[in-house]
Amino acid sequence: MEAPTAPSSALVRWSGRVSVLIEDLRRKEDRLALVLSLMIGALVGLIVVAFILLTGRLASHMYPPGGSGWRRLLIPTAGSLATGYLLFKYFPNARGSGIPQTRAAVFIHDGRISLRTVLGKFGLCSASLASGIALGREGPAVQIGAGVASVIGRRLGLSKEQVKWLIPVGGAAALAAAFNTPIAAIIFALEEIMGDLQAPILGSIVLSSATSWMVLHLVLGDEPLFHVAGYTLVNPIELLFYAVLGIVGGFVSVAFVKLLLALRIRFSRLPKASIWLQPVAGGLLVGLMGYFVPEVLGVGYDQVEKVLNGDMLFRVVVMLAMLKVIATAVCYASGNAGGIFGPTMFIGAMLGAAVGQIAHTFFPTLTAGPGAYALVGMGAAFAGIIRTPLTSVIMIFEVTRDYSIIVPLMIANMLAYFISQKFQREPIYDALSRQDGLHLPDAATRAATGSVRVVTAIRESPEPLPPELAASAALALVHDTQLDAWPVVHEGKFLGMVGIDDLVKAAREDVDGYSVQQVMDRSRVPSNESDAAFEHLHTDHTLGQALARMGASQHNTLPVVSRANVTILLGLVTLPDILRAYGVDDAMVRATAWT
Amino acid sequence: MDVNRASVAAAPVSPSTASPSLFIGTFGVVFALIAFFLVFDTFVARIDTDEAQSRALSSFKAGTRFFDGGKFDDAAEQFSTAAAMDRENITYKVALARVTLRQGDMETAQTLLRSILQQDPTDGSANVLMARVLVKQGQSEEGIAYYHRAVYGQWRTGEPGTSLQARFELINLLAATNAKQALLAELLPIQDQSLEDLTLRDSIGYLFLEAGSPARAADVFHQVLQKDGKNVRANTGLGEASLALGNYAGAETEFTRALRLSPRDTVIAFRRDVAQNLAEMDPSARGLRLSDRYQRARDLLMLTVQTVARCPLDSVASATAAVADSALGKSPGQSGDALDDFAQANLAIAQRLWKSRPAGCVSQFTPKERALGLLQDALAR
Repeated sequence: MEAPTAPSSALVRWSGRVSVLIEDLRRKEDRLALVLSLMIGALVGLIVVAFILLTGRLASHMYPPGGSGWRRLLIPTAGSLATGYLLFKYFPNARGSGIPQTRAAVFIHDGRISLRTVLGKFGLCSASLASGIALGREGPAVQIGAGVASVIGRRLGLSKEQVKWLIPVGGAAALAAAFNTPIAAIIFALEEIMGDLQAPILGSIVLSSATSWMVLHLVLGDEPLFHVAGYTLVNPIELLFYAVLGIVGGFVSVAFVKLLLALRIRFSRLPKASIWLQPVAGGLLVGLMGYFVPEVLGVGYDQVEKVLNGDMLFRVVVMLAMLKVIATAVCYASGNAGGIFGPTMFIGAMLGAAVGQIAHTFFPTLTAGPGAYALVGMGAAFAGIIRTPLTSVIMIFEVTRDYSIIVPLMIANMLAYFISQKFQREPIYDALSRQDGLHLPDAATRAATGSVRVVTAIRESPEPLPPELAASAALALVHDTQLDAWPVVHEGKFLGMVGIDDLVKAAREDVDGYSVQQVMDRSRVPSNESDAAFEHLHTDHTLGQALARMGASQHNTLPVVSRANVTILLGLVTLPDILRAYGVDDAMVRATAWT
Repeated sequence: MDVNRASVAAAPVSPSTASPSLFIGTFGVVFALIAFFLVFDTFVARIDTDEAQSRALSSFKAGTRFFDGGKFDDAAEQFSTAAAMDRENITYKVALARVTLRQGDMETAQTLLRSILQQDPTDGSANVLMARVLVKQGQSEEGIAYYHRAVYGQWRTGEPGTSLQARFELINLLAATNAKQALLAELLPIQDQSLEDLTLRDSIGYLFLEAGSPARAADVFHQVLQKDGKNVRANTGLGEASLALGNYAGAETEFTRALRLSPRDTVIAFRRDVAQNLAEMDPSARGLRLSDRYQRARDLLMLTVQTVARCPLDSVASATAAVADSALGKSPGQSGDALDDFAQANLAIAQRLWKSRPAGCVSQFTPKERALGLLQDALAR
């Protein structure tokens, strides 16, 4: 009778182990974060691949080879009409690119992106892009990825703060799969979505991006988005032409952004009842353009690849650049679902090719072919329109896997970025959000918040206590009521902080007289930094970090020590000091200081 | 929470507040979705790939038809489409590079070929095309390196060109650049190849001649003549090989045979006359009596003096001519040693005089003039 019970006991043991593992996962944040990063990376990667494949298949059915020209007029019009109505009726949050919505989810909606929005974005964007609307798939992919992460986080019962953290994790995974650019996706998530390159979720973003990229390669193979022949700098003088390209790219970026924003305002002033019909304006315009110039339809990556390989005429590239600027601006402004990443690259590539052809015609021995300029033009337009210069440099590397033209790329990018910044002060995504009535923190605000350092709030240390001093004697010396802890120094070496409350308590308790050292040892809270025995700060820590450490140490006063030697005390930082550094009024600080 | 530590590890996710069943259920749904999308994506991707490959093949076939019909622009468009649709297929890329080269766009062709060779450095066709581009650009040394890679590279069936053809292109290049040693090195491995293709073997024989290996050339021509005794090119080649080997009588015989097969061929007739003159003039021919050797040496000197006299001579050449005139006036008598000494002396003066003539002054239009030139070259060797 032993034999039949053996499997069931093994099953019980096994299920017991699984339960322990799951409970472990539920309770241990590091493990859950790791698993979630991998899981979100894999799922988002696969969903985005499905999104790309589905869009491609739909497009190939809508535009079969040798299809009639009327299709190019009718399909975008009908597509925008159908998707416009569905967006209005069922999926209002799935309009537009997806990047501003993702940022709004992080900064306003506590990381909430609904499942309905994810489904709407997936289906309607796929249909819209397949019908030939001149928008891109990457922005929507980011919103889909972020939405998936948000839905999973909420289903798992994570806190709002934690769900918020998962948004860039999903967004990075999506961009890594959509563009086949894992590193640029990480930087974009930090640079654009979070607005902080040192965001504490870097580890998770890296994991999800890498997982998503692996999934992409598993399904679609190891192919870059564009195949580009190796380009090199022919002559150092050529840098001048690339600089010209950067300047032209900057001005075209400004023109594109201003046109798009102005058109969007015009559309927003139309009667509310017409919202569902407005996308047709974009569809019809693209249809009309596409009837005569089919290359304008859709994302246009085929054309980008052609031009990157120097395979287009000057008048064609100039015409395509102009038409795409208008088509994308109208399509986006009228409320179609789709992003501006892809069109940005298209416009940049055409613009670069045009500049490159001029340069190569007049200086054939000094310059590379127009393909090289198209490559740099993509980066310049990206830096000018999207305003993420670091992402744009890395992205061009990854999209083309061509590292040979780094210097021209950086020069053109920076020039385009600065010109765009000068003549269009508000970045496009900030401006789009503002038009929607959302006041997201701009880069300057985020940078200021994150980068106010301890050095701005530091105060001089009072006379420190010697460790051998009796607690009661020490209490007599401590007279500054603003501090809830006092530095202890022995022979010039800083030993740590002793809490005033601990001194009071020890003085009351002990008749023999506790020393300061003993009081300090009794109440010591271990430091997060392994090489120091006490919680402390350095001058380059942010005030946010200072607050976090105050919470961890249960003291409102923390020592600021040298990075070279933690026994050298540089000063103290208190909670009121931090409030003052953020500009909080002194009266308010005093009122709230010790309540 | 420690911000520094969190920044290098994973996100600071707090423990889940979902019930265990919801927690497990969510994970289950996510894994099910991953499995579903994996299957779905793989399936759709496979369909996409198959369709793309099929369309690429159609474009490639259309491109090949255009190429064969000389419509290179249309061919380029089709090949470009094929290459874009099926990126893994090197044949399409090579075809695109080939047509680009035919269009005369060397720069684009070179860029294309670089990318192909980056993908597969051993591709024979791509290496040969790259070699052609470089040779056309005057970079012969680099071109030769690519030819070598082509010769020892991979050649796909169904593509134009073979390793042997690549080697012949290289051989022709080496012959054109007069790189005799390299040419001989390339010829030796194919000496015994293509035994059935007599035209090819003829060519190999002539190339051996260009590489300065007349004995091997003669072997090749003999092999050809064994299979086809009435082969004019082989007979002529054998005549040339015999000439180069100093067997002037043999050369005359071979040229005569060739002329019999192709009586109107003036080139062969000229070569036969040259060989005939050489056979009559050669003072080093075997079996000659001393007096005949002396006489031929004297005749050679006299012919040299007469030929060089038509040139404007500098002082050195004039002095040598005077020495030659003086030598021609002397008589050795009948002693054997003296005849030999005089013969040697006359030949030495003839060579000096020949060398001292202004370069390019002496024409070699007549068989006799050509024979004199060849004989002087042979004596100099």
